Amino acid sequence: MADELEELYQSTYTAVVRYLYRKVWDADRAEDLAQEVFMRLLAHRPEKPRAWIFAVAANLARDEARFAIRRRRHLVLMQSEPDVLPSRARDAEEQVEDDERNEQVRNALGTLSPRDQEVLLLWDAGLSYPEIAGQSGLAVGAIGTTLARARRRLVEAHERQNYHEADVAHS
Amino acid sequence: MSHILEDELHAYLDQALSRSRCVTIESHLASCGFCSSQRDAIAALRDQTTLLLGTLAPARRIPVSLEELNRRQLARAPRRQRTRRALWAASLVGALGLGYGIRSLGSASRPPEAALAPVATVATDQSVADAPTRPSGPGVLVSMPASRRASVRPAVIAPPGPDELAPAPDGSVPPSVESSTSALPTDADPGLQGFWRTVPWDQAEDVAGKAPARVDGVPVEEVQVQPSRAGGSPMMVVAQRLTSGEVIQTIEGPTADVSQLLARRGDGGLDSAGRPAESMQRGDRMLVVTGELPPDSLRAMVRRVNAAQRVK
Repeated sequence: MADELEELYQSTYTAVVRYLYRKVWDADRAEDLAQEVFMRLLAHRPEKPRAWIFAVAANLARDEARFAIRRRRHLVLMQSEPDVLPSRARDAEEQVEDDERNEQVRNALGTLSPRDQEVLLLWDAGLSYPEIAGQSGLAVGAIGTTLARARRRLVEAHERQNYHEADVAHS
Repeated sequence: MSHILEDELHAYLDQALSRSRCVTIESHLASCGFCSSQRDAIAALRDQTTLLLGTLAPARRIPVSLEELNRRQLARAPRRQRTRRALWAASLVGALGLGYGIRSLGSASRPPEAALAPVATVATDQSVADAPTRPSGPGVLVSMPASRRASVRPAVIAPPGPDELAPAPDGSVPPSVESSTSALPTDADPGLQGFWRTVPWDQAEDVAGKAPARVDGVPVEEVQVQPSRAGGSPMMVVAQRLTSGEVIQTIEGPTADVSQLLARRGDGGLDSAGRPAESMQRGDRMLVVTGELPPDSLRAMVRRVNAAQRVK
């Protein structure tokens, strides 16, 4: 059991952090919440740990959102800071470009419906269709349809962002 | 065979289909140029999505080890219990103190409330608990069984001061007070020996001059009253039995008497878990609750007291 948990932790932790990061948009908070998820896992030892982990992560992210207004100012401050100290060799211009690119993708993701977002993020975290269905409340047969729509809309929204940015730059 | 639907191609690329369905699709793709190009387009879309989402990832850090998380989790569990217990005790003392204060302000004209209401509160009014009491009338001397005395442990105890712990001189005992098989005092302490009258709940107010404090919602086992030696308010002990079988006692009386009573129980002002004692004191009166209340009673008590506050 301990080995299984260790293996699960090694294989899932990064995906959980990434999943949470895309919900709370704060790297430190995502790490904290991911650790909380695994501490709860150790306490509860659920039968289907993988699905359970993401269900708990989603709940924690939802709870986090409830305090979003109160913490908004703090989050803005946090987001304005780099997640890690940039290396001296790193070009500041590259950093700005990365930030802009991330912002575009984030905005594109924000155009998706909450359900499409959730399904897409769970798929990207490595969950199977039945696991995604179990967490999102959709039928397994509907996951393919939802993913098809979510992927298309994300890419289209991102392309629109690019065109918009290009227009702004030209004008 | 008709063309393969888009969502099924997504599921195919996501390896979410059965093996037999995959074989069917692959056979079709081998002979259908349209579906084959669809598959390629969806694969590109899928890759692009992965690429885009990949940019939305925090900087990778070395994760905390699972052993460390396990240590934290194990360390957290007792702390949670301690916190919960401390909050529980603080709420209880606060709620009791508030109720005690309300009664001290004087509210003799309050309307009677339903006996053994589903909510719990410190009963500071003329509420009548039609709870099982011993078939003894006012003035009957009854002793509490030793087994029950043993089962009652103080959870909230007043730390008696050095003066209060000192045995009272023999001369302080009024002539009318005689040594008896008193219910609560278990040792030979001349300072507190005297009549303990066990009375039914519905007669307790008449005997004591006011309704004794109790925890509503819990059956009253018995009420014991000892007249004040100084002619003031009496000392009252209300014993109530929880569904767990444990007996809790609400003791109210002159601070010195209550402190001495607690001191004579031999626990030295600590509860069974060795935690420091707590109590509520108002003027020269003290209110102490021994034993642990069930959490639902506590919650109901707090709700009730808060509602009373709002009304005021």
